[in-house]
Amino acid sequence: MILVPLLALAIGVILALLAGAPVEQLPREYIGVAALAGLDTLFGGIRAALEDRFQSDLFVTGFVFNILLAIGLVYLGTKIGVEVYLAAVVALGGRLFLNLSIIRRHYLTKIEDARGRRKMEANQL
Amino acid sequence: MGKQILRSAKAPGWIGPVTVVSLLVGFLITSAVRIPRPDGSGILYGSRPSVESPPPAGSGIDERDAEIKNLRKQVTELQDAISDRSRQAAILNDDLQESKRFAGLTEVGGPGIEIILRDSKKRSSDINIINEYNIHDRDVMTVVNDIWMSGAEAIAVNGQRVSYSTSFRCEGPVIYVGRVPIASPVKIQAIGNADTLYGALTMQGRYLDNIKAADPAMVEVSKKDRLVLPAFTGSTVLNFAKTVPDKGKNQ
Repeated sequence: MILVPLLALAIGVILALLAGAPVEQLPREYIGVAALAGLDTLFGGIRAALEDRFQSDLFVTGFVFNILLAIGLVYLGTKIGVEVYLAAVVALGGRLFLNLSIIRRHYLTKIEDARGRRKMEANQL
Repeated sequence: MGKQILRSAKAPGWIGPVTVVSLLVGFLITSAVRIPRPDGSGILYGSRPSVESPPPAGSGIDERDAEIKNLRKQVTELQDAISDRSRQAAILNDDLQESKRFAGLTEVGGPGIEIILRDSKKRSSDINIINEYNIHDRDVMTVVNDIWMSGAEAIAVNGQRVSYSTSFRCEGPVIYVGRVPIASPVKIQAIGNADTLYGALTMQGRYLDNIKAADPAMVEVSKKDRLVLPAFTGSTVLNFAKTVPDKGKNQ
């Protein structure tokens, strides 16, 4: 099931590559933090799904607001001359690591459980 | 617990939104990677302030330069013609031609050196290293300065005579010598004592060594028995600087 979002990610990459020159005209700094915010929401969503507490409305609004907030911080930074966007980068980056570690633990536990079950079944036989 | 998590992961509720967001994130990340970074400088605030660009290359500069050269030649011929009339005028004309030679307004010939600076053929993905592998305006500027310091009497860069108002500036892939765009290889010719110039420029620790440190093939220095440097073809009009009258004369 996790392969479906991965496939969508690949399609997104291909679309951006096919988009050609218009993509290169976009403001890099805004797109960069927007991508980071999107990535954070994405991993947050996967984590919530694995923990059985996924809510579509929270996920979608989180995606939109995180991106808007990150873009807003970059804009504010350019206006006041302070690299405020770093706050978004640090916060989102930290959460990315946390979510990824939880996802990793989840799958490791699953593998451990499967091994334990197989062992128990082998012992019963 | 394990079974519960497994069941929840397979629940179709999250697949739709996560898939859409994945697609958007993939698009955003790839877009961010594809957008070129200006000059390899900082993401937001590191880029150099933009300066008004000179006119694009080849916008009639060559034609105007040729015209200026012809007109100046005509002026010199006329001055020579006037001087034929009297000895006094001949002395004045000699003086005038001397000043013009000094200002770089006449073609000059003599012994000297030739320095060729070229971009390295080495390749790198690191923007800082790429900068080291390319010839920039500061390289040309510093080498020209070193040549003046070493006693040169006339200098030309890629056939453009260096005069009092000559400037060097990088603009994208080209270097502007005054208003004329040039690119690698940059040929700097200087008239003066060839041995002195050669010795001074190739001395250890001089600026050329810095360029050679990146790639020795980027620098080539040779002595020349005879060089002919063209006249300066830029503007010589002075709008603000006026000659101050000789005070002694007035008294």
